[in-house]
Parts: sequence; structure tokens; C-alpha cells
Amino acid sequence: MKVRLLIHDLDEKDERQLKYAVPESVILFSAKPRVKPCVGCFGCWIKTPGRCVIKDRCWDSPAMMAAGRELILVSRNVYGGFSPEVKAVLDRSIGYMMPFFRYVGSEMHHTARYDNPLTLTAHFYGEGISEGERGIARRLVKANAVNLGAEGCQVCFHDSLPHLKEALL
Amino acid sequence: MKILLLDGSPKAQHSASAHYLRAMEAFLGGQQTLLWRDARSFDGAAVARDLLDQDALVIAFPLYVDGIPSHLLVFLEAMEKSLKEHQAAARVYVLCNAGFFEARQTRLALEMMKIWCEKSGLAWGKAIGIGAGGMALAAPIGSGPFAKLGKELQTLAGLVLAGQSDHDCFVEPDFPRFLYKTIAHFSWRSQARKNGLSGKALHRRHSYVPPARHAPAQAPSNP
Repeated sequence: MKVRLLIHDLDEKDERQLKYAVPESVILFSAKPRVKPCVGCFGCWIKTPGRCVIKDRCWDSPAMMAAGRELILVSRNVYGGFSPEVKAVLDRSIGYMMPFFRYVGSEMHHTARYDNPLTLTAHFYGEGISEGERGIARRLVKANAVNLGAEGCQVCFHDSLPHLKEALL
Repeated sequence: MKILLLDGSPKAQHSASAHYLRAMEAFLGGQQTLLWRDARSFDGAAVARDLLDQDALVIAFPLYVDGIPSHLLVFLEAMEKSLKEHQAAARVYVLCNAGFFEARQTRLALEMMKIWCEKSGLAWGKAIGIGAGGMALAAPIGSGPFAKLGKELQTLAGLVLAGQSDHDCFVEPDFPRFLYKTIAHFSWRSQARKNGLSGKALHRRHSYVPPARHAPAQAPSNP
């Protein structure tokens, strides 16, 4: 059964609510506490292909992403992008792709490791997300979707945590 | 003039970001007081305090997943928090390099840096998005495929010294894109072979067994 993967940076209390509210088919991955950052070694491509060389709870995140038909990212908005917590997981997950290049339109991107018709949904939350930040976030998620070889993407904004929970639960 | 050079790469060695900053150091000349910092071993709040008496901040970092690397985000948020309490007058210049050939793929990371500047109360100077970062160390900056990059960095150094701003630009090496791709593929296979892997092993796929709902993800016990 294809599942959905939800990576979030919510606190423990909010995560507990999510655990009981979302169906069993949703894998929850908490980006808190923050996992170690990617060190740019490319070991996930040339030493342990498809897996991060840092042996912590994020080491198998590429395979975790490949198990899902939808990747849902729930993140505090930081400068129009993801929080350091969610970004650390994404940076550590580049083994989901191959090191080799392909062209999408006029741009170079990585080839896919998995034949996975993924869709990408991002929920950004935070007070006073500006129009500029929203614009960046929309284009960022679209760019991420192209990089991941995703079939589609969706971006939602929530001006507070209660509003985010309302949308998710 | 006081200039803070911030290396935003997670790599202590073989870093393209440090390479570009060293080129900037040469173009800035020996008359300036340069302060080197990096986002690996320094705390963002402490570097924000260092910035208070600086005239310019030059940040170089690699593009990670279309954005700013996570360790640098932590650093920048700490800087922002500190700069909201103690206003700095430094103008910010940014260099971002992408592994993809097209320099324009850095545009979102550069826009995020602009938002950071606004939130931190810092003036935006200029940014250069650099493509084909994978070949950054292949030739000296200012010659061969990096002649154009050398000119742009020299112009940037002039702006830093004059305390001026200009529009952002995007630079790619004077090198065929198809050849960059071919060499990169050869290099990945060659590096894998040095690690005892066959070319086929690079395509390895892994299956994933989801943990029970209430158990958190675990690190491998015997990977």
C-alpha cells in the first residue's frame, strides 16, 4: 500500500494531536529535534547510494520518501522557504535522486532513483507571511517538485498554528 | 574599510564558497581590514556582534535543494535576532553557487537572502548567482572558463569598496553545458569506483518499512 509521508517541525504536543488525527497510512516524521545538517560529502550518491552516510534517524529518508505517493511538508516560514528543521531533512534526502543530470525544459536537474509518481504539498505557517515570501515559497515548492520528479505540487499558507491544525486535522 | 567575509559552506576543505571568497579577498586588495568567519564553527549571534563595526558583509554559500543550506539558516536566524537588537550598517553582498550549470537556479536562494536582509535591517548590495559549481576548482578565477566570473567578482569588489549597490547577475563558465554534464557523469562513476562500487551500484534502491505509528524513526543499529 502506498502511504503518504508528512515531514513537520511541530512541537511534541502538536505532533501528538496529529498522530491521533491522521490515518494510519500517513507516516509522520518529526524534523524536531533538528537532525544533523548535510555536510556536502555526496556520500549518499557515491559511498552508500540512496542512503545518507550520517547514521541517525534521517539516514534512510530517501527510501522513506520513495515509499509514499504524497510528500507533505509542514514548516514554519523562514524567508519564504522552509525552517532549518525541515530543510535539514530535505538536504539530507538528496539520495532520493541520482547524481546524474537530465534536462527539464532548459534546466539541468537530477535523474530519478525511484519510479515514484509523487505529489508534493507544502504547508507554510507563521504570522505575517509577506506577499514576497509567499511568492518565493510558491516558486520554491514548484522547483522542488521538478527536482524530485513529482507529478504535481500544492502550496498552502496558514497565519497561525491553530489555522494550520484546522487544515491538517 | 572593514569587511566581513562569511563562508556559508558546510565544507572546511575543497569548498567552492571559500574559493570565491579568496578571489574576492585578492580583488579587494591588501589595504582593507578583512574578518573571516564561517557558519560551521561560529555562532550567528556572535558574528552579528562582529558585524556592528563592519562596512560590508560578503556571504558565499552553496545552493542546497533550491535554497539556503539548513546550517546556514540556523546561523542567519541567530544573526537576524541579534541584529534586531543592535542595528548594523553593513551592506550585504552575496555569492551563491549551484551544482547545476544554469546560474539562474540560484535565484530563489538569493531572493531569500534579500528577505533576510530586510528582516535584519541590512542594506542589499548585490548578488552573483554562479552556475556549474562542480567545476569551481578546475581553473583559476579570471582565466579560461572563469574569465567572466573574474570580471564580475572584480566589479563586485569595486562596489564593496565604494559602498554601492547594483543589480544582481548570474554567471556561468565559458564552457559547453553538454561537456559539463558528460564530465560530471564520468566523475561520479570514477568516485564510486574509488569507493569500491560498480556503476550499477549507484542506481541502488532501498525498500522502506514504516515504523509503528507511535514509534519515532530510529537510527540504524547495524547499517
